[in-house]
Amino acid sequence: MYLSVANVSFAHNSTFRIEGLSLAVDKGEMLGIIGPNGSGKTTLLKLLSGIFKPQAGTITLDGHDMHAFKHKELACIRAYVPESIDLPFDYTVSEIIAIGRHPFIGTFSRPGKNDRKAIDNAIELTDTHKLVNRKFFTLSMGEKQRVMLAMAIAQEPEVLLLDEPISHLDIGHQLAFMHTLKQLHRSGTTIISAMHELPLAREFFERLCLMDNGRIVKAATSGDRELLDHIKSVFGVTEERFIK
Amino acid sequence: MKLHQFIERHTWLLWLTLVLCLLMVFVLNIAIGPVNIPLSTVLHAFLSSSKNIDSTIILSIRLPIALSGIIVGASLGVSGAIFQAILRNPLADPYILGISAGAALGASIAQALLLSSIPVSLSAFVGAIAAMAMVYLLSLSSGSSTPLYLILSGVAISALLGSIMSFVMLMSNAMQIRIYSIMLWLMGGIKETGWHELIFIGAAFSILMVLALLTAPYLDILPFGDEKASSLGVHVERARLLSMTIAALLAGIAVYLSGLVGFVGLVVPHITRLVIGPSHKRLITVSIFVGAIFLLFSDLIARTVLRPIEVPVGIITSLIGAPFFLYLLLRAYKGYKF
Repeated sequence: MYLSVANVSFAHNSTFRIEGLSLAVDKGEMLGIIGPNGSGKTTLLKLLSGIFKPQAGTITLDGHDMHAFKHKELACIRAYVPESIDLPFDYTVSEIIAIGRHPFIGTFSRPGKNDRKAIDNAIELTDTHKLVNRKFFTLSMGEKQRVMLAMAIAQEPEVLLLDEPISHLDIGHQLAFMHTLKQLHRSGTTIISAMHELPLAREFFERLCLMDNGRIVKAATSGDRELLDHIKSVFGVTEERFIK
Repeated sequence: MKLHQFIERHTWLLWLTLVLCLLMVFVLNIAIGPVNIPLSTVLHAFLSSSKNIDSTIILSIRLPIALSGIIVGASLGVSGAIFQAILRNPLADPYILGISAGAALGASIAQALLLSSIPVSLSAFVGAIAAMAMVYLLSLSSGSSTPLYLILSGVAISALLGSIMSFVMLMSNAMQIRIYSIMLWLMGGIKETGWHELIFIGAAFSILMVLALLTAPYLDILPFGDEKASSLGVHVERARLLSMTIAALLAGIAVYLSGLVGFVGLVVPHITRLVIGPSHKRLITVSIFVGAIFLLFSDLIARTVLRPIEVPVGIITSLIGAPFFLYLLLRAYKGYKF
């Protein structure tokens, strides 16, 4: 088991808590996390990325406790793309993507050949050539998401975690974004993403993890009949054509 | 945008301009005063060892003041840049987290209680750092020193210390001269400083600047938010405390040398960011120069505008800085989110 969550509990405040969560993710898997608003998708992602520390239970990465890693070590293994970024300063796109290399650059050293290569690769994969000299504030929502993805890819992560990355994009940009993820998946990256778009999630992810009220209702392959029934009941949608 | 790209390609031009401007205001600062000294004499005083009245004025009074001016301007500029990054807020300045209130209280206590053994500047420095520490600890009690909690704690502590200061001033009401001297001190002005003291402060200043440059990558990352920063391998709480300590000490140095000089720490990082962008290694390096130039230039005006009366430099920096800042808000930052 590559990434595993065992009996994890976590509470933000008194109103919402995640309890007794268990989940296992294989290396190179592409897993979608679905569920209604407030079901705990983001919290699970933050637990999986080590940003939140579980109050009970353990999360292990490649056999090691997630929180035994140093911050920088962990940043060389996994990258996290938050739902949206609200920057106070107007960085250029190339500056932002380069910041993704931070965990690899020592306090007294400068970016080297490897860093340059990783950045170029990230730009290539996300098709952001034309944006590199642009300022972040001038970008459209779709472009911003691509840049944030490029920043995460520059980290050369083994595990890529994304929080509803395509929720604010039109269908064309959604598909383009998903194809980029698929390409990363083919090159061996483990991808875990929270998703609101059920048809797209079922199309692109091998396995889906359905959450409701801070619990995992079911994790199964996307085509699983039982999963579909659970989706219908959790979202309160009776007509299948809306979720297929 | 275009200016940004032009400068990217001709970095040497930027540096040349900065160095020349700094040299110019520096030499003018030394030459102009109650007695004007010809530029040739100024250069002569540096180069030859012969002593006369002019060279004594230059070496023991004007030069230390001009150097203090550089340290104050650069410290405030860099401190402001750091606070704006940590607090993820372009409206932050070095005084925002209780430093001005702490300094003012420290200064007024020293004045009012007639603690002649403790100089005003020292008690102001202690007050500033203590207030900042209080703000930090208070914000921590909420679990984490997020920008919002820091700013809220800063507002609360500033209000509290401000009222204590008013009380102290009221109690020392009998001696009005002292209140006047506190007021004068609060307006900010570069004090005369002895060489020994200045060398010590200069060394601390240099070390803090090196540390600020080394921690610049954190300042690039923290604006992305705590969670994204953490996922990029930054120990957010530690990085924030380190950067905040550096910025607070720099602000403390400025307070020690010149009281409360306003607007430098707010405006300098803004201007600099407009010209060279927000990347912090360059922002800090250039802010050192822009801050020093802005302060020396303001000091020049402060000393000449009502000659022979010297206007506190803080009045001039605010007089130039405030309208300029308004201009920035209205024009250059259209569509800017605050």
